[in-house]
Amino acid sequence: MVMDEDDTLARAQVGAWRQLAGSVRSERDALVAARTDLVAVWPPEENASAAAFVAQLDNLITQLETASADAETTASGLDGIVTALAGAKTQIRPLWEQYKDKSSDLVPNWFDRAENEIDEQARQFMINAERAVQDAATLLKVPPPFEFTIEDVREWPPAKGSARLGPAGIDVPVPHEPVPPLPGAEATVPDGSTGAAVGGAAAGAAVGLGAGGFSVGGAEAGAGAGPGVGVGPGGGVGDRAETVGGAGAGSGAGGSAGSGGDAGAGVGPGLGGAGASAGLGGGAGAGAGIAGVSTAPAGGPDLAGVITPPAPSGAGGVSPLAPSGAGVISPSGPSGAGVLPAGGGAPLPGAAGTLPSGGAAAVGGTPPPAGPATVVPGSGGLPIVGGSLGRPPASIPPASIPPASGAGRAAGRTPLPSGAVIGERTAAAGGRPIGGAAPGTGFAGSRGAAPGAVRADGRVPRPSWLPNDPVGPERHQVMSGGMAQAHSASRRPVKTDEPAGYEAGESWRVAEGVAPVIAPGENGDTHDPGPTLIGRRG
Amino acid sequence: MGDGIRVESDGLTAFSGQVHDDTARTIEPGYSDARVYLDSGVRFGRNNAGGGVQAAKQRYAESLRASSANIVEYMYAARVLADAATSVAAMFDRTDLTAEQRVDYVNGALAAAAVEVQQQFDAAAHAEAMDGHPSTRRGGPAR
Repeated sequence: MVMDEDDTLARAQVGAWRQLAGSVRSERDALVAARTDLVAVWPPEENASAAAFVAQLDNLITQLETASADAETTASGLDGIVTALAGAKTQIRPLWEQYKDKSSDLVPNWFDRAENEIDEQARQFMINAERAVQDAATLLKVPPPFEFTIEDVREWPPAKGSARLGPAGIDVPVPHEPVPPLPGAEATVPDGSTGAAVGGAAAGAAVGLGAGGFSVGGAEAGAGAGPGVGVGPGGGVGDRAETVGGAGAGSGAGGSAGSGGDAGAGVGPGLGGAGASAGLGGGAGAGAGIAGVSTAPAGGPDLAGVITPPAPSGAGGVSPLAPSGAGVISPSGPSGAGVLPAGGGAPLPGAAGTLPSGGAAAVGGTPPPAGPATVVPGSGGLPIVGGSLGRPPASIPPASIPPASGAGRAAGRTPLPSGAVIGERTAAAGGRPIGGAAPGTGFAGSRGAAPGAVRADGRVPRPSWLPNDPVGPERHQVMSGGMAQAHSASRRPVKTDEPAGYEAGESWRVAEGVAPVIAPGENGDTHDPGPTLIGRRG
Repeated sequence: MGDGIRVESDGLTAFSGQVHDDTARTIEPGYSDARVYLDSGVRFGRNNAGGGVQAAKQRYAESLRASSANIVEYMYAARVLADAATSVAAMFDRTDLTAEQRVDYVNGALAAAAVEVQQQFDAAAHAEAMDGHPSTRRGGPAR
């Protein structure tokens, strides 16, 4: 964000403004001197014609005086802006180095939140810089247009009044190429002062499937985001103990957005037998999901994440319901906020109780009543339970409840990494699913990993806009050459033009062949090389 | 023609030459030099997503446009005054007008000079479009 600041041309412009101010001041002083000489021989007090002429001259002198002061003030304002942004760059640079170290250490971010702390520091620097920029911007003067106007022009000599004399000024575009918004953050705060954050479109999806326990579908907010599919244990957690037990097949397409980076998570109560579970909170249930759109509170400039996605600001408690995230599943199909990408979600193997409308669906918007869950008949004739979730039933140990990202986060527990889906995490780690009786498999971001998703090693992926610097301890070696280069030189050279997944020397597989351009003739001609010339005998 | 009129015309002629020289010596080269850097436009906050920075960029671009346009107008206005002074001085030498007529003539000469400067600008702009780059030229009209 500040990588390209402290531009030498920006500094030169400060000097140019000051030079311009000096030139205008010199012109003004010269006109004042010329006026003094003129009125000495052509006093306006005694000649009306001189008064008319000198009035125009005085007007120009006044304008030049104002313009000189404005140019000087604008130079100061520009200097303040450039200095503030350059200062932020200087302050953030070491943080970026720390971030690269932290992002490659053995401790993942979701465990120690080290990257988040660094990002928070960087955000603070940017907030301070933006305030300084806003203060300095008030010094940028926008003068009213000057028009050289002659009034009371008679017919002799024939002429007309004048307006603008010369060409227009320097008209430049406003460059605005902000870094892509990070998950859960808006790219730009329009007014530049309030920093109001508004949730965007829902993104991300998760599908949980399993038996017993409960499923958690929820992906932390991400702008863009492909649907993620996670298969986890089914079951239910509810205020009224909607868990019916048994093998509940649940699917929850999690998705929410919020510039604050927080999002709800879906906890789907499963039904007995082959019933489908429902995703709640930030997740939009594929089978029975309730999407949530969270809106982060305003407060300060939204910087869209300086280094890494901000930590979700979830409230404590197990209740995964986002303030506006819960909804009631309707048999008529998707409704309300939280739109699941078309075709998102995944077919639920063995899940008889998918949404009545079929396939993945976005459900949500309407906060559910705090009372009993809403039961919706599924297409398979089995009920789907979607309802408000609150306290976990006593039968379920709290430790088995995975913390939901966003408003439904369980306080005091290890939070999921950004965009984590339980099934995804389980599958990636090769371990057991969280809070499930039956292990599940899953993956997130089946169509392009959601920006909020984590890598297989549990670390937050590097934002695409960050410099492609090497990270980790080896980066120092890379920078200094030597070992790193020797190490890389010993490796098998990688051909960047090879398609991913192909080995050198392997024939390229193509879907179908193409018509040959050069082919042998079809007339059966033979080639006669002629008699032997060397070593010919007799 | 009385001595007073002669003094006026000499003073006006001297004023015209002085203003032309001062304009060519101060504001025109100063603006031309400054444009070398100012023409590069907004040079900060390109990748910044902050609303405050965006507002600052917009304000700076507007300041750049309005200020530079006014500077150009000041240069032309100074030229107009100088040309009008020359015209008025010539008139004073040729005719014996009443006070009211002289006022009218001054205003008319100023307006005529403005028109002439505009025509000079148009000719200069056309010449620049034909064979040169404006950044390598001085800011004043072709004379």
